Amino acid sequence: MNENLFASFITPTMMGLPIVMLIIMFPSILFPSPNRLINNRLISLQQWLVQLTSKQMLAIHNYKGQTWALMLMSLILFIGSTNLLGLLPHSFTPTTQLSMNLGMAIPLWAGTVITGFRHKTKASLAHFLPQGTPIPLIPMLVVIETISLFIQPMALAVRLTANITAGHLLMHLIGGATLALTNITVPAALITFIILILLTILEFAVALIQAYVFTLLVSLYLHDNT
Amino acid sequence: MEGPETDASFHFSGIEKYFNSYTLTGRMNCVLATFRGIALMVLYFKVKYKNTPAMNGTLTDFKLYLICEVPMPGEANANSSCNAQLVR
Repeated sequence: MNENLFASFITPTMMGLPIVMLIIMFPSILFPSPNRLINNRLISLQQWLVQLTSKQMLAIHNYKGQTWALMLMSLILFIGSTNLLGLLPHSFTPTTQLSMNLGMAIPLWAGTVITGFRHKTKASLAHFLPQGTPIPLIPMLVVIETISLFIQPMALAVRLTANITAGHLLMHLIGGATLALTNITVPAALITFIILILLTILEFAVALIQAYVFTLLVSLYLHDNT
Repeated sequence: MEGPETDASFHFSGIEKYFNSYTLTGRMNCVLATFRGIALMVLYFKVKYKNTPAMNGTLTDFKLYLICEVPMPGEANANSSCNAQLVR
């Protein structure tokens, strides 16, 4: 049982070859590219969703920040689709791997910080000290703000990993409990099954919310630095 | 909102003109001074403890033998004695 609980988080292989790259690239083929001026219903719906998200997310940005539009939209679509596909039974979810989430979070965060230091060096350095700080507290606050800056990518990655992993583990556990209780008491199994359905609905929401939160935080870091 | 346009509303004199927590320049200078102070402290402790090694000498293997003469129970006027011998 213990081994099976974490089996879904092991890097998948097919005939001895790792197929994790194929799994990561798979969501991209689910998004058809618009190839006509007026497209079919699916592509029109996709375009409408992307426009709605991009308008809402890029409203706070100036011209420089809006050059990141493609990056941010790709990010939210990738994480959202990967998380949703991971809810299929027996599938592997790349966003449960901390290595992958760190690989997304660190370059994006570093990009925003380097952009800020390049274009607004004074303001970026001044960010390390909140306005109006009493003089005796200045050194301590500078150290605290530096630490909080470097914690940002770690928090981004760990938040996504922990949320998705925890949800999958819970579903696995409650699913196992439902099966085990079916042979013991059917009413208890029914209650556990209802809990499982509610949890699945929650996980659908969490999959999309976590994608939005990740992208929104990257967008906020960008806004602070542009 | 902070920025160069709001910095003009603050009027500092002396050292506070360059080191304060209100204007952009003042905050930047405080941050840089803090980082430089930390770097200096780290360098100071590194250099200080680099010149005082914990132990001087070369590494050599030694064996210490303790040779004792223990008298048998029935012997008269018997004294026990021990000698230490250091062999390289």
